[in-house]
Amino acid sequence: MDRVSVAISAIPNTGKTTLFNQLTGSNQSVGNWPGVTVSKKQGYLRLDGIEVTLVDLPGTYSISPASEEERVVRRYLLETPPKLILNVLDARNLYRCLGLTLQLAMSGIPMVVAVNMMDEARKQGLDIDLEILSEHLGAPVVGIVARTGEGLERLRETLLQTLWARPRSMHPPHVSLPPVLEQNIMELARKVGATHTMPEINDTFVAVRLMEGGTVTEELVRRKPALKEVADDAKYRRSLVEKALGADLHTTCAQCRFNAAKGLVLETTHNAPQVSDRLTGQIDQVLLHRWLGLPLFFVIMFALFQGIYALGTPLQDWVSAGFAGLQGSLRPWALAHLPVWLVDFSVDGLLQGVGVVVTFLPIIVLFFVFMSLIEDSGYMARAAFLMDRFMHLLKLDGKAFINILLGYGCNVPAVMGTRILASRHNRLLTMLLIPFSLCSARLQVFLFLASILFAPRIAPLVVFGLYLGSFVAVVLTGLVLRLFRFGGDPEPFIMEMPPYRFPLWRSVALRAWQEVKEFLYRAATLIVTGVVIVWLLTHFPPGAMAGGPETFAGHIGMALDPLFDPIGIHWRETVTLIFGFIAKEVVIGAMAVVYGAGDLATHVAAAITPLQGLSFMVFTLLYTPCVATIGAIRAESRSWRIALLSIAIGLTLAWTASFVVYQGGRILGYA
Amino acid sequence: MGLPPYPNSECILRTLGRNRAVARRLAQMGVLPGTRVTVVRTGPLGGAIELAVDGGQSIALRGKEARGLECDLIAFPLSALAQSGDSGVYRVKALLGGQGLRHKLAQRGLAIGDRITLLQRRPLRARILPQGPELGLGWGEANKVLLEPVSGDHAHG
Repeated sequence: MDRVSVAISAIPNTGKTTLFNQLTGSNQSVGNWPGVTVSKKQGYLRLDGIEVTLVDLPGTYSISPASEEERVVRRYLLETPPKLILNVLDARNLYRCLGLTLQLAMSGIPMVVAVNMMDEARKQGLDIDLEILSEHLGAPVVGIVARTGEGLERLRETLLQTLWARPRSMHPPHVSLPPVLEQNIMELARKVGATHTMPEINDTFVAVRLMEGGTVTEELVRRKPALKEVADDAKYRRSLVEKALGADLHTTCAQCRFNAAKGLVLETTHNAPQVSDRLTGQIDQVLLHRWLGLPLFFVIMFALFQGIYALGTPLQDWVSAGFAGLQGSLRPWALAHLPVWLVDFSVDGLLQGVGVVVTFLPIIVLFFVFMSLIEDSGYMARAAFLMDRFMHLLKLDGKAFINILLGYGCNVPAVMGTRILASRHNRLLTMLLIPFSLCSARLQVFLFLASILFAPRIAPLVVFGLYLGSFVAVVLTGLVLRLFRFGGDPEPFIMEMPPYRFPLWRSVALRAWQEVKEFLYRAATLIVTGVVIVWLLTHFPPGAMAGGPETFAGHIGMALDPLFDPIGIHWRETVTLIFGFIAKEVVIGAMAVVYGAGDLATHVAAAITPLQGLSFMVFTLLYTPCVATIGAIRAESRSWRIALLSIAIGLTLAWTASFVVYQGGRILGYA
Repeated sequence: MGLPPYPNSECILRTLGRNRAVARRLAQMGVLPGTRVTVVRTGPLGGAIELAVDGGQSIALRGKEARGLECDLIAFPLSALAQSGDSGVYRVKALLGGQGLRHKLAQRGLAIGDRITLLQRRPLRARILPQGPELGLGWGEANKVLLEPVSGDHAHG
């Protein structure tokens, strides 16, 4: 029997992901929805012999077209309707969940409703009548506690029964609409029915989607020309209805849905004491305090940063030392069996590339462990609340601050972490800003060069100045990029503040594991390719000394001389910059190669003036994200254009900044 | 009027404002005209504002966007009165905080249901009407004295 697809759908903060993990275990795969920055998770489970693919739909409040997530859900339901929808509700607050439930119930796709967090609802003294809810929704309802697994057996049985039964008689709940709207929808639904284009989906559901319009329905109409006439009619009727009601269609529909939801809550919930989460209130009194909130935020961020990088950097060093050892011990063995060029290529090129990929793994694991803790505990929303004032200047929301800040440790996981941000606009803009944060790899280069070229008293100031420059670059780029409309308009900042809760270790571990898998799967090939290309550039044509003037890189360096001369960088340094594309810290090693034998510090001090060194450092700070970051940007944005744009912005900004530093320094009389 | 930026204020949304994107998002979260909201807190530097919606959810939105919502004020803290300098007469609707505060204020002659008017903004002084005592209040206390408009009699003075 074929795999059956079941879609799991819910509004944010209902424990959907927890349920998803409980049902599928670690049997999941992560990818992207086609063409968008929203990640797509699928899990696999067996229900008494039926192989089920559980598709995790992004958490949205509705399926009307506004955000990228909503369009994903819309497209999925209209184009590849699943056999069953599993809708998750939050028992503590049915009202806010039911808006989506009612929309989904109208689709005519069989549905099972899981009411989650029954234990917390009971603790609050809520008494929910699931049978009445089921009767009204026309779908089976099961009470569960996803965190503990309570009720999951019932849920599995219900899913199975509903999949077998495929009850045609499922009657969608009635949501009363203003007569003029109702009549138009019914007429449209009849026309949709007459086209026989969407047999799996309720005609009324399609009619409303056509009325709402948007890119997804336009695509649908393009694929199914029979709907063209109905779609045009729908557009016309929408304007009529909006004029008659004097209100926006979306708001009117939402109003009607939530009126029905209110009624449902009144009928199904008894003893509803209006207690909000006391503990959350008390914690927020401190963490969101007018004066203490921000300092506490910075303390938590400091702890986060230390947690990731103070633990991660030694691990990284350890892994990379291990790889260097491996390279060293493989080389003599390989030389005995293989031609020299092949050994060079595989040991210094290919294996080096694999090494670069592997060194990122510990930091990605730690990064996502700590990020999940922040996110799952509910603090992420608070951070966004606290930082919104600042980040809004860049047209970003407060969460983006955390990503950019963590970029100061390492850009790669920071870019991968943009996935948690709220809109495509936020995600793209943030991943274009992250490469300007001075990561620890660049810091190594700066510490090394500053200590060689500057007096011990000045060197720390130089490094501090570079941190400042990095910050300025982030802000300036943000201010410039906000003029362009990346990924559509910024969405309004309206965010639910979820109650605090203890993260589940299982979810945290699963998340870290998936991120590593995904990093390997999506970015690894690109990174290895990048490293190999750089290796070829710096070692070929055959016979040339590595990094020497006869190599391709050497030729490029010299050809670029007219461009780099005004910023005080000579061809040797240009070659090291090409090396630096692999990873910024490689620049130092590359200098050792380019300058040949002897004490590197003396060579560098003799060849570069402090001003040239400063210009070189500024260039290194900004010029291009390393290949791993580009791989991550490409993977997250699903767009080569964004990845290339990131390089272009970097190079332009780097050249300009270095030019200002170098020429400015010369005017001031430094050499 | 727009949503007041004073914590503990309560109001009922009349419309979702002119910004369509904001209105849509709120509508889809179930925050609709007729919904009662309470301002929980404002973020540092007046950035974001946190609202408790009567269904029990807590929502944060940007101050600028919050001011675009139209609403009918049903209660606000005495401190808000001091900030606007309004010297109308209002009724004490509730005393937030614990028994301690209620007791302390009762000893000074203030109880729920009293009518009160502002005398001086800073330091904050108010008079309990008609001939009640004059009352000096700290800012923290004034945040917790919740007032509502007195319908009918408008004894401005």
